[in-house]
Amino acid sequence: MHLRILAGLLLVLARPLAAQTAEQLLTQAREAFENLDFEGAARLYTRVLDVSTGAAEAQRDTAQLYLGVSYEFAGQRTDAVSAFRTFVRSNPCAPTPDQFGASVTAAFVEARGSVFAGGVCAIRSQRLARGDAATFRVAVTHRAMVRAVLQDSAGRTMADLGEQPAAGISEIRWSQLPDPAAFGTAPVRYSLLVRARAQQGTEVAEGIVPILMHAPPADTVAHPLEPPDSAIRPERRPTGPIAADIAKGLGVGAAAAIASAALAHGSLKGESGKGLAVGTAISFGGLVSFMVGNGRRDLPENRAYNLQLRERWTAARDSVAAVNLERLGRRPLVIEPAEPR
Amino acid sequence: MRTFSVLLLLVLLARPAAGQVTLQAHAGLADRRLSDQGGIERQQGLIIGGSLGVRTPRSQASIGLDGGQLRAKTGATPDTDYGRLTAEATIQLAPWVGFAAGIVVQAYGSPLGTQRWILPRVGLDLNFPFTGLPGRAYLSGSALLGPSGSGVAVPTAGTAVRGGAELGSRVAVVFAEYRLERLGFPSSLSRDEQRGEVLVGAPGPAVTPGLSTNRLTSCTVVSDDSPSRRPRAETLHRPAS
Repeated sequence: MHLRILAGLLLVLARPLAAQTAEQLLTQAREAFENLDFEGAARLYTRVLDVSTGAAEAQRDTAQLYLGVSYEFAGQRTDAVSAFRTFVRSNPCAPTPDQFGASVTAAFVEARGSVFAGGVCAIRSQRLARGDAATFRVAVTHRAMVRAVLQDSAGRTMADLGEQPAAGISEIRWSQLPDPAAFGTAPVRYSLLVRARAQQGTEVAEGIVPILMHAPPADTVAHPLEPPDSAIRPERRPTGPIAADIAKGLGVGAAAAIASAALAHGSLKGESGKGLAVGTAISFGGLVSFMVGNGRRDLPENRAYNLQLRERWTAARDSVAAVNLERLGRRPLVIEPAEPR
Repeated sequence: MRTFSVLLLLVLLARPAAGQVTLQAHAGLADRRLSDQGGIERQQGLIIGGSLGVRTPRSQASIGLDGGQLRAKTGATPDTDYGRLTAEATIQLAPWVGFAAGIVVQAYGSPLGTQRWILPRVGLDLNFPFTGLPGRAYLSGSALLGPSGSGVAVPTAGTAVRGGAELGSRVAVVFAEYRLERLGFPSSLSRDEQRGEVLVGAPGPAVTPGLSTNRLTSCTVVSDDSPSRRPRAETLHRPAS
């Protein structure tokens, strides 16, 4: 049980310890290098490159370069060229290390001449307007045909940037950029894959770098609100008040007729006919008012007002939509380097 | 007499300081019936009249004059000349109801003599404006309080009702109205009397002093239910009695 716990702890601590070891080894190697102990430095740089140290890519590149330099200063040209060859394969864009003197430069040039390597150089951040072209730098150690493609995270080819001859460090232009409208504000990860085919011979080399693409948000204008129902005027009069005219006429007419009969002296009478006649006329008046009013329910002035209101809103909406479309269309496409996974 | 004075004062006070002056002309058929120990007498005839009024949105006052000859319709009944002077004021309690008070002085003249009655009255006017056309239906009821006058028989009380409708257009307005006035007499006289009238007429132009002349028409405009557009109870001028 104790052994298992110990093993678990070792596993957990293994990587930090290894990283620390690589850093420590690099420090020791640098001290040996500065003390002109080039053989000792070469041994230490070789240890850094051991997979078990878990050195990072940048640490490995440093170790690989200084290993070649240490060998050269130690008088071991063959080992130096071999070390530089390995370095060039993974860093085709690296410049010649002239700072170490002519012998190192000569060894480096020899190494570069004896290996076919190619790849993408460091990606520069680019903010591209509509019509611009993106550029990527590629490097090959010998004349070659270089093809660059853009792949999505699933490895599908999203764009073929074409094939072109290259020698040394060249620039690849990507002029058929995707529409920025297709991109959100969140960066999307792609991979730029470069395949180099030597013009002489059958050697091929490949390099791949991750990139991020996104389109920053546009400063768009808010759409005007649709006129609320409360702002829309009724285009027809409601039926209710007009229909009530019938009730008013009938009610008052009936009241007049009833009053003529009820209030007259019992012995005199004689009023029912007149009351009924006028009551009927009153009712008829209510009916006429209803019929005329029902035929005049349309409110053309309100209809014209509503039409104008809607047209004004539609014009404002279309104007805002046009402005937004123009602003969205002017969004730049941003290409940035991405951290390798 | 005291009641008369009070009502007259009310009429005068109700006269608006500034308002529309209205005119109205009408004609109609009056049918007077009375019964006493001698049987039923009936007189009927054409009457014409008119009124002059002043009105504001909250009140109106008017004075009217009617007259005509009532021909006898029963035997042993004389023809009678009929005249009536009316003064009345109305205060609108609400757009659809108003309190009315006034006085009616009416006279019947025949070869046998002349009867003059003074009939103070109070009552309520109900208005029902139409929506489809300029116009309204209206109904009013009045109590005749403390009548006084000359003649053999003076009424002690009475009631009056009136119902009608005004209807018109921007060009002209007409109205038809039915009135019934019933009078009560001391029981010792064993007398009943009533007068029914059917009137038709037309209001004249309303004149705002110092301003333009307007036809006495208006139409209730209803566009929707929002408070700002609720129908306003604008009504035609009510024919004065």
